[in-house]
Amino acid sequence: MNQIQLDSELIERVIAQDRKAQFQLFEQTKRMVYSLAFRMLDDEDLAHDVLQDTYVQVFQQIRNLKHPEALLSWMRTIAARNAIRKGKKQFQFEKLDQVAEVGEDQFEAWFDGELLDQAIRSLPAGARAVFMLVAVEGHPHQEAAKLLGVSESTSKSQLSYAKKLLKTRIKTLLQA
Amino acid sequence: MKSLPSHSPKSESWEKILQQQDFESQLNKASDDLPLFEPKTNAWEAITAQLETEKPIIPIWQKLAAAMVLALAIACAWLLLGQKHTTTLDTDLVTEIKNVSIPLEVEKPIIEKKGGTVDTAPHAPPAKDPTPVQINLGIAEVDAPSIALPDIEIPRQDFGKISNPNQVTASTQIKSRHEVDISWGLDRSKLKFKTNFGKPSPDLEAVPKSHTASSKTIQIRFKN
Repeated sequence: MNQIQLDSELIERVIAQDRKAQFQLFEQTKRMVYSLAFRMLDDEDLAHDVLQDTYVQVFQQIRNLKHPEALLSWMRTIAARNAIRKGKKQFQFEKLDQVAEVGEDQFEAWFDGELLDQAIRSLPAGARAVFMLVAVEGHPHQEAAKLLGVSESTSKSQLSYAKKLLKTRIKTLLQA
Repeated sequence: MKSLPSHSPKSESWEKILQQQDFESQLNKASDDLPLFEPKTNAWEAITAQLETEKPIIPIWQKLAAAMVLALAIACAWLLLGQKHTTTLDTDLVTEIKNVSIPLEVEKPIIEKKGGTVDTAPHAPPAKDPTPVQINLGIAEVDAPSIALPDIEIPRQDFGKISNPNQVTASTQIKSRHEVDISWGLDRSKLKFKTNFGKPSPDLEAVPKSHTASSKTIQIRFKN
């Protein structure tokens, strides 16, 4: 993926509240943070709010960061948490027993990141949030459930539901 | 183009391709290749503006620690000041016992020493304690507990009406009503005793019986 390499000297300068270093870090990581927020919320304005809150939080709390080498994953977690906070109202989890069975298990198609991104953004908000946290960001179900304020079983069932939906959405997009 | 010899792939190549077509494997690969979106150009200005206005967040434990240190410092200062106050003596509440030196020199009794010399040195006054003994008598007001007592009515007696029958007062020395005539040289048969015994007397009626009973004085009138 879009690997970002951060210089340790740059991180030290950011910790020292050097404004130029902060801007440099922002330039290197703004797409990562904004894309995460935008993909989770599917809303540009909310995503910008999340971006702003995330960087303010990062610059204010970076001196408390115990492992500077984990700065990027720390930033992603802050961004995800802020996105959940912003989109709390829209993150409603459908009861899956009331949802019609979707798609079939067989999948014979090729897709790339661009197509997957479109399919993700077309998912219901709750399922999209779980998919982003677990499948894309790599959080375990327990952590994702805690972040979203749902049970672990809800997180698992929502991920399964999201994947089934993605199959049908990708097929639809390929046929279009 | 030259006709080069062709080579056939392994028989399991197609299966491997089909494996890569699996949804999960494609998902893992595509998740790493998701497109990146660019935020607005003025995003940095908004962040710096917010950083300028917002103060850095101080963790709650740091605030608590600072508050505890402050409280400890105040407590220490208060204790030290309190100790200073207790060491200053209030002259009104101090009784000072001084060792008064009497300006009299008591001669030491002459003691003859073995060597024949006589020690006549006067008694030196006892060594004074340089620091006078001070007793700090603190007067503290203590609220005595009030005891609720029932109101007792003492019956008032008129002691004036009680009189001792044996008491002899001036008023009780009433003249006797008996009269005795004693004569010498007279015929006994002619001797007569005149008494008012048994005679009702108005005076006697007014006097209480106890008084008459206690009258022991007898008046003797001599008739010559």
